[in-house]
Amino acid sequence: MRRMLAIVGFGVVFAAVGIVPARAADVATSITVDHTAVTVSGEPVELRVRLRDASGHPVAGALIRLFVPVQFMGDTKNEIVGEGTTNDAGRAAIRFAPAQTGQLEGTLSFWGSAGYAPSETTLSFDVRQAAAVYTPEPVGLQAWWARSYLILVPFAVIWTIYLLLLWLVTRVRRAGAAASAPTDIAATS
Amino acid sequence: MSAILDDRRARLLERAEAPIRPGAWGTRGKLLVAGLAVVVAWGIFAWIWQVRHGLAVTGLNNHVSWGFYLTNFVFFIGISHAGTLVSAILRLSHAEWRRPITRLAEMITVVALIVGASMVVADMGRPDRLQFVVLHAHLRSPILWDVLSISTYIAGSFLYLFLPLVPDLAILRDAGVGGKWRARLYSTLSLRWEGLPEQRRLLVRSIGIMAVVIVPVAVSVHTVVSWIFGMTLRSGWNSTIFGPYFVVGAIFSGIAGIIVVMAIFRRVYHLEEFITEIHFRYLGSLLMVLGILYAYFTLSEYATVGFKMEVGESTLLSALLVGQYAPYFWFFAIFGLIVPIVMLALPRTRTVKWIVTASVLVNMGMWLKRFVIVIPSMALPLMPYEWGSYRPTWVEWSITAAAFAAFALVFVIFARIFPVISVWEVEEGWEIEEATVRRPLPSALPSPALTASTVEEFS
Repeated sequence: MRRMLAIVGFGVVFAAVGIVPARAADVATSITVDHTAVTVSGEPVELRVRLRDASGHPVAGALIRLFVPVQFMGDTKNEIVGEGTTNDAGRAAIRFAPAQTGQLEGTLSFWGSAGYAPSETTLSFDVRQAAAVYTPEPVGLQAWWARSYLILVPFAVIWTIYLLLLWLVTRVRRAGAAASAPTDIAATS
Repeated sequence: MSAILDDRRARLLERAEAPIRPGAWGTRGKLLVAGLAVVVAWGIFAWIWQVRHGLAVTGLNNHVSWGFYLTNFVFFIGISHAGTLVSAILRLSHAEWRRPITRLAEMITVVALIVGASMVVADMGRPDRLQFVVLHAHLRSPILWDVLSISTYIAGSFLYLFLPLVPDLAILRDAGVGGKWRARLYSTLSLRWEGLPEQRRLLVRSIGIMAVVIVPVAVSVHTVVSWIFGMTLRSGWNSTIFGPYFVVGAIFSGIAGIIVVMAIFRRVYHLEEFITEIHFRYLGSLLMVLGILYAYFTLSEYATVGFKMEVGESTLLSALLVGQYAPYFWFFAIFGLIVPIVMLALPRTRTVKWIVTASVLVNMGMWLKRFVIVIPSMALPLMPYEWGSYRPTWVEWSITAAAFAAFALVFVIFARIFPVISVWEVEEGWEIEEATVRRPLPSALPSPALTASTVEEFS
């Protein structure tokens, strides 16, 4: 009896293992990228990305993300700054415009999909300072005479008149002093 | 000079010097000054409290950052207009009736400007930041234009008040009114005035120049005040007529201010002989004309906005006419504008009592008008959010009360030191009047013999 049960149990386990198909291992993938290593801050860069499996076949419909370290409020974190989905040829184009300058280390990441294992690759840019990141449009009326300091002209005129009046006031005083001078002399003598 | 003129001159001097003499205030006067001083002191305490704890103790917030303080600022700058502007225009147009009231008008300007400018300091929260206006002056900012024009106006108004004071100060100096410090003050400020022809010529010339200069300066002040609003892209302020609208409003409220002050001083200092009903009637007529002009501007402003009904403007207009700000707006429109105009237009109500009542209503209405210009436009959201709210706290009420008390207090103290009537100008007016009466008018009089007898009779 025990023997029978052991045979049946073994058979059931064997059958179960046999019914559930063993999961095939995900196919390894690899990312290659073609990009310009030297770029200018603020200008968009296009990364031409290719995702292939271990046998070199293209992987289509895969989402590739680009991470770069981003500084915010004194903290640096890897943030997604661009992404693209591969076409039938396993190719995708990712565009992004680096905001900072200097050596920038980025990561292209494929998080995996059915049958394909995740993969990633790093890339680096030398981001240089742009000659002018932003050129503002000239504001206001574009005329040689439209200058804000001209607002001071009427005030200067008025204050000059005030000074003239103060001078007239001193003349009033001088006229009074001149008239009373002989009297003062007479009084002292 | 005739005996009648001598007698009038003596009475004028007596009336002008009476408030300046020692003990002139009496118990009631001292109580009034003490009461005003207490209100001002309380306001200063509230301001110190605000400086210590920040603007958070006020009802101002990130939506409504201009509240009572800016309303008071626009109101007092408006009041200041009347003084110098009315005095200068009447002087330039040789309106002889102006003579007894010019000093009061000029005093109003100086006092109102000082009080009005102090409201900006209260609104700033941090008074030490006032220096930044100069240190980091931005010539493209209407706020800097405002600082420039108001400081120019204050300087000009002081000068314009001082110049006609010189002969009167000499009268006080010679009369030996007051104690030692006053004698020294009058002696210094009277510029050794002896009434010499050369001195008179220089003084009249200076006053004439000043009268011409001060008119554009005064107009510029309220125009620039209006531009602080008009040059901001906000519903209710985005207007091209704000310059003249504000100037007319300023003269309107300013004349009402003169009438009220005139009535108080006339009664308290018994100046009925010099400030007569005719002054109230003439100023009342001016007030009515300016009221009609202001009504026209108000209609023009709101009718054009109401016809187009742009999104922000229509929301604001609804709030003003039928919404939360409607009581203030309609009080202004009815009691501050229509009722006073009717009162000033009807012959039956063209008396001192009714003209003063109309003026008080105008001042109340115009303060509310400034309130509905400043607050609703700030409270109106620029994005689809809730309306901003503004509820003034005890700090703002206290500082506002102190501003009005300070206006009265400075006025009372000023009137204690300087004559409120321009004695020499009134005398000059009488002399001109007498000379005109004495001059024979051949075309109007029947015969030379009769002319001679008439002249003799009046001599």
